[in-house]
Amino acid sequence: MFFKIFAPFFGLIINAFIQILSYKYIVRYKLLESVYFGFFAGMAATFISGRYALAVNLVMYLVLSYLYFHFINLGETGRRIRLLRELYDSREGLSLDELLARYNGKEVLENRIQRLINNGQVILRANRYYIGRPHMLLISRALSVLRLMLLGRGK
Amino acid sequence: MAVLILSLALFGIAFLVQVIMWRIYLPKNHSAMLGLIFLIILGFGLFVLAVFNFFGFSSQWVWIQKAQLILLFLCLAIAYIISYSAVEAQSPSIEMVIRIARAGSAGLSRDELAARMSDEKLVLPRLKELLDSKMAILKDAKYRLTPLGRNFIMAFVAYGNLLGKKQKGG
Repeated sequence: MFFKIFAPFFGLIINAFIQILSYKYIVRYKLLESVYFGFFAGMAATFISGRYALAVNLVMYLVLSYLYFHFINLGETGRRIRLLRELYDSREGLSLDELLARYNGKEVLENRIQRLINNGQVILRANRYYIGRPHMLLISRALSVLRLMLLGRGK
Repeated sequence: MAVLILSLALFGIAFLVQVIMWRIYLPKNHSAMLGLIFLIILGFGLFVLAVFNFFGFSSQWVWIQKAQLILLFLCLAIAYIISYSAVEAQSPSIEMVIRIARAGSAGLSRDELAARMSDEKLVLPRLKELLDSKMAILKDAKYRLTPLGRNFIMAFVAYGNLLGKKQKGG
């Protein structure tokens, strides 16, 4: 019984294990595909091990998977994480100029536009950018609604 | 199923409390206040459950159900608090998508897109946040990691090494 309530955590461990394995050996360095692999493997593990209160266990697994995806995403896209990594790689520390030579606004732009193009969110045609798949746009609209709800128009 | 419904109901109440509170008074540290709201609502939920059980208004909850309620609610709270940072500060990717969408069928050139993407806007505020959160220090005109920053980044470095990734992201 005690193990049953930790079924979502067991699912998360399977998720991470399969995600890392598939990244290296199955989908060959395609991060998003490896996340899908891990997610479904972990869900199957949760389903098998967590039949006691299945609905709760599956919802908890979804939330834990979201947290794991957030961790992966943060490592991939987080500006603070990138700055911390640059400082970690430089034991002597870095001046502002040295830091900006390694990571700057231009690189932020390059990395992000490339990711948006790779994911099909943005299309490059005749040297101009257009919206491709609207997922990111929908997320941004949902965030705008939440921001409006919480902060109002004035803040 | 009762655990799921009560967890979601408590999460909904916490969100409602946040909306009302934010409209009246915007706290300085959003994440800390959110954490406090979620803990108070969890305590409130457990108290109401105990009262209901005591007076026989509901079936007796066994400890395992209470443990599940706490775990699920805390997971939901952490996921919400982490996601809330996207409400506090606009991600550059989302800003880019919004600007490209606004340009419509005319599209946006690289120069137009880069116009508002400076170091001052994209990098320096994040560097200041690292100093404010004591993950880095500025000493003798050099930025260095603090032990807190080093411990924090180690998880990401270890994960990157595990995957064999060479790119640093960002």
